[in-house]
Amino acid sequence: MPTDPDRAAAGGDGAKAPMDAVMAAFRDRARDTNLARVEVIEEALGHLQRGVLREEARLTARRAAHSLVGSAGTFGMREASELGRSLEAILDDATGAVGPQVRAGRGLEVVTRLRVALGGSGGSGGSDGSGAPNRPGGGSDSW
Amino acid sequence: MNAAADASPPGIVRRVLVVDDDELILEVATMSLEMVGGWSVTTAADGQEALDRARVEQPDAIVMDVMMPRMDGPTAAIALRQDPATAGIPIVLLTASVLAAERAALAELPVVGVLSKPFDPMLLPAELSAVLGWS
Repeated sequence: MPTDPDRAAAGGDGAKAPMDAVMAAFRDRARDTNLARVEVIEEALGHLQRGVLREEARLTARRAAHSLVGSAGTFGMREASELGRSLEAILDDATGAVGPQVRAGRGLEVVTRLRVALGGSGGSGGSDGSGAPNRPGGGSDSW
Repeated sequence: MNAAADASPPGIVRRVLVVDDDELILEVATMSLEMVGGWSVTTAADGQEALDRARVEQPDAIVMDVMMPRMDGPTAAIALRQDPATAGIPIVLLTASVLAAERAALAELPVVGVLSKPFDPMLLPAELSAVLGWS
């Protein structure tokens, strides 16, 4: 087993280029995974719109939106991550202030934008329209 | 800077158990902590698996997602603290939640800190080092 100094020789700042390559490879996989999550959310919103959304399906969709937030953001798809947060709120609305059909309609609009942000319907991988991914986590200049 | 490696005792590699039900997040966190942090990483897919692995592997720290199937992070954190075999292992939770009430509730758990998802793989080791007091 290597010691930390051994790893340090290959790690730290020297890890940036390999990490960039790894993240680029992961991004396509993350897009596919998150598009599958969008399907789950969309189905639940369809049920909500028709007034037949079961609690278990709502929770499943809510978990999918929550996972999407962390995954999309980590892999540089910042707008998709933020849209995922909007869907979390829509699926989580406990106030009852907005009727289910209106909530579902709003959610389905977000789903459409989310697909574009994820690059699933003609959009780019990034969310700023440049075709390039955003930095993950909204963080440093390191990626 | 390799903050994690610099803070480790000479000749010793920190061992971290990362717990998340998202396979891609597990992979990227592992690469981040190994390539950038210079740590040794093992993984688990949910809280129950984390309990089993922690008892056997005795990692130096556990980094755990909050929302997971079978057993979530908060439940696992409490169970880890109640088990004498794992009670001394510091736990850091990772959450995508931004709600103040949820964050406050997580801070009440027997954990040393709560970090946010999404995370930047180049910064995660340094952030964890700071929370764990390893730097």
